[in-house]
Amino acid sequence: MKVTRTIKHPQLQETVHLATAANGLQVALIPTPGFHTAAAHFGLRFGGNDLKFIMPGDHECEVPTGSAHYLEHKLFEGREEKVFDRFNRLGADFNGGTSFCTTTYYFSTANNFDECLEVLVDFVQYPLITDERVDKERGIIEQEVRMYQDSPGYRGTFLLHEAMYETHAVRVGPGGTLADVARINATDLQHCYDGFYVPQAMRLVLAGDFDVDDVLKKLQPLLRDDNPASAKRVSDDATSARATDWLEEEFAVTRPHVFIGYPQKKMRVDGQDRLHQRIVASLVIDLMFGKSSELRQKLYEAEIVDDSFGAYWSSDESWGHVIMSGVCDAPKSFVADISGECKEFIANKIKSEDFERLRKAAWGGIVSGLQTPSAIASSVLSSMLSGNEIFSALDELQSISLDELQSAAEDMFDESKRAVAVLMPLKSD
Amino acid sequence: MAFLQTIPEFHDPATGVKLIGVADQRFKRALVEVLFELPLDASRAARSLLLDVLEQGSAQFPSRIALARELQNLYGASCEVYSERSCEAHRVGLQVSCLGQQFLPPGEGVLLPALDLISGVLFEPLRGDSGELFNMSYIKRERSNLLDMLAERKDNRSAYAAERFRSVMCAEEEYGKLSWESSAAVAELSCEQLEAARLEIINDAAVTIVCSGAIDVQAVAEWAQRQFASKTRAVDIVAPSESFPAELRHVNEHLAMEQAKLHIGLRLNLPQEIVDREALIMACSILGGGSHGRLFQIIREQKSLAYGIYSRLHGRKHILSVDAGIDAGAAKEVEDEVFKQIELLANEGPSEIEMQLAQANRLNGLAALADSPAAMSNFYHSAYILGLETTPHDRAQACLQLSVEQVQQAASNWQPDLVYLLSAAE
Repeated sequence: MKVTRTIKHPQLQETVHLATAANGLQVALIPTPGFHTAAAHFGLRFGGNDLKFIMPGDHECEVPTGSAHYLEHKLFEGREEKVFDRFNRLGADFNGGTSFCTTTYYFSTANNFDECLEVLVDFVQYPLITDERVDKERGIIEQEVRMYQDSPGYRGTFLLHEAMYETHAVRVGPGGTLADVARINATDLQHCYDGFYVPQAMRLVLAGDFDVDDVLKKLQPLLRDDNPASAKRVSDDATSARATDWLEEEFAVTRPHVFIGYPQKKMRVDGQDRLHQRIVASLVIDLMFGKSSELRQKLYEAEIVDDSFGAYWSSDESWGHVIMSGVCDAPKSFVADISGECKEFIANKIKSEDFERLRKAAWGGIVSGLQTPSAIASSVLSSMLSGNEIFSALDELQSISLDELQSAAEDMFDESKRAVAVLMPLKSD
Repeated sequence: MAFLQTIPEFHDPATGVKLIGVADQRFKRALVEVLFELPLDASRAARSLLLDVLEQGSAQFPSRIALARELQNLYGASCEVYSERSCEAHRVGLQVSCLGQQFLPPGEGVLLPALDLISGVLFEPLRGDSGELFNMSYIKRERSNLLDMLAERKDNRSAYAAERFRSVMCAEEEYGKLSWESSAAVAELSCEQLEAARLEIINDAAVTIVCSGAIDVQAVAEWAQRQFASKTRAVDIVAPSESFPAELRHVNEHLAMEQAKLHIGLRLNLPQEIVDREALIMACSILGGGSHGRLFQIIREQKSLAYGIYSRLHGRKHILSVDAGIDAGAAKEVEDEVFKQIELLANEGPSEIEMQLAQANRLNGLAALADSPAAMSNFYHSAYILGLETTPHDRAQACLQLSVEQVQQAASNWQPDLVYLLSAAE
């Protein structure tokens, strides 16, 4: 395996080398001279949203919610020895993560990098999934799902997803429902593995103070030889119908927690376009709701919001939304006041000086986010799985115009699509 | 494996002010923390509200917007003011994180302007429009927000369980006190009390400045010299109290919740020698310091009773706790297993493989802290507080030389004090 392309980014002062293995696996290596730790992040584009897919040979599969997350847990079981034990012997920090759209496995270590890489590549490539092993993990996963269910932020967000989307898989968290966790079996997980854990669909990113050619030479014999076809994802269309404009639930909170969502009409499919869209949306949200915004200050001084108020953007190929949330006494007037102020802000047009100041801050944030080998590897893997050019966020940031930002702000807050979820205090409290 | 052997720069820029600096230009960001420590006395309620009022602006940047916009102009520097209970003291912290000089356009600097901005809110605060000490409407609003926040802290079940555990276990000690005293105390604070609290922080607190990352330590020392030129004294922070229980207590409190939170507290003697401290850290690690720990292996992996169960030492305080999220019905089984494993560790010591795993974990942690400005700051600051002149390399050497017997000995003086369970009512 040889380096086929090198990308140098002078402003970030980072260089990434790209290579493709014979089995189709794409590998990125980032030398980080002088750092004590080295990191590896191994991931694929398969996550909690992927409940329906077509296997090679046109066999259609449907799996319960939480399957991708359950599979991540199962891979850590290893074949002959638990992965925990193997990494622990080497002293590494390690973990895995399942989001709506991706699954990643990673480690960071100050010692035994080659051995850790061997463990990572081995356990992800060669799992053993049996019903007995799947059953054994069920209690642990149920405890993890239940842990999240005590969080108002988590529950409120997914109640809002249920309001915003009538049918999409994003209605349920990547961990799945407790009912689905109870029925996931080895066949479900094997289908997920066979369909998506194929070399051509996976990406491996390594960052550390190492010799690139030496690492590639050691990596090659660790990789599986076959290169089977990948399953085709069948994504729900989230841009169609809103389930309801207002959803309430009683929850163990002191005051109402309100979540306001604006699903987006159209999402960009191309990875680079999606990155651009994400940066634009984040700038709009910062301009409107960041601490430097007049809108936020007005809401704060009027005591409509306090410091619990926040807003963020989240998206993938088939869905995207802005979510605002806060704690208040009167949810209906809270929502009406915020919506009214948003309309006024957008009508008044974004000021050039506000935009340029925010762009400067975003520039600093992007540069300084790439501070450690593990952070760099994570960022590069995210770019590769999203299909955008590595280290291109600064260029995208520079390419944004004030007109584009204004136009995006006008599109993002469509009142006809707005949905609200409220966690109301328990009546018995 | 290489361990940091750096001895930090120490400066004494003013009376009662110590500066600890570890510059490292590999990093993209600089980190500075200015830590003011005072006793957890009656002024702590005033300090807690004061910081929320101070965040409304300074003489130079007279609004929240003006402060936030200046930070954006400084390439997204972040500044934070906070107060917290730090072991048995009350800490007010000013934290600055900003881009390193090597990533800025030539001639631009952001660190000193960011330090001036954040210290400005404390040293040159925003006064009322008609010369009042503070704008009264800001005090009213921030008091109301703080009281809401205090009332809502039960909403975060994990954090609330940890707070209640500490308050119950250390009811008679400073460690059990709430850092804001009480909602009633916050509700009664006057404008004059806030100003007195501000002056007390500036004039009386013991100040430690810790800086790391892409930083010029000398420049920070000179800034500190200017900032604290008029400081003439600093209070002594007393050592944490030690208390050993007469018998094990069980406390079960109730809240509506899906998953119960279990906290088990033990008392111990905190040793002064580095090698003994390493033995204690190893013993805690073997019990429940991660996925290699006994509790994780037994409670989670063998019995599937918890997603996570971990033990930890409480810094300078003489306490070790075990924390887990579990089914309330499994509480007794988990408790019995925890005490059984502690007894086994104390009576029979760890196995060779447990020693190896805990050692590998500890050594990796010590080596890895060289790659994190925050971890470096934390390590050297803790060493300074404990009066230990030590580097990660020293700690690693001590860890490597530990015997099974030393680790067993470290576990043998843990005394069970409290089993605290927060769960839904039956």
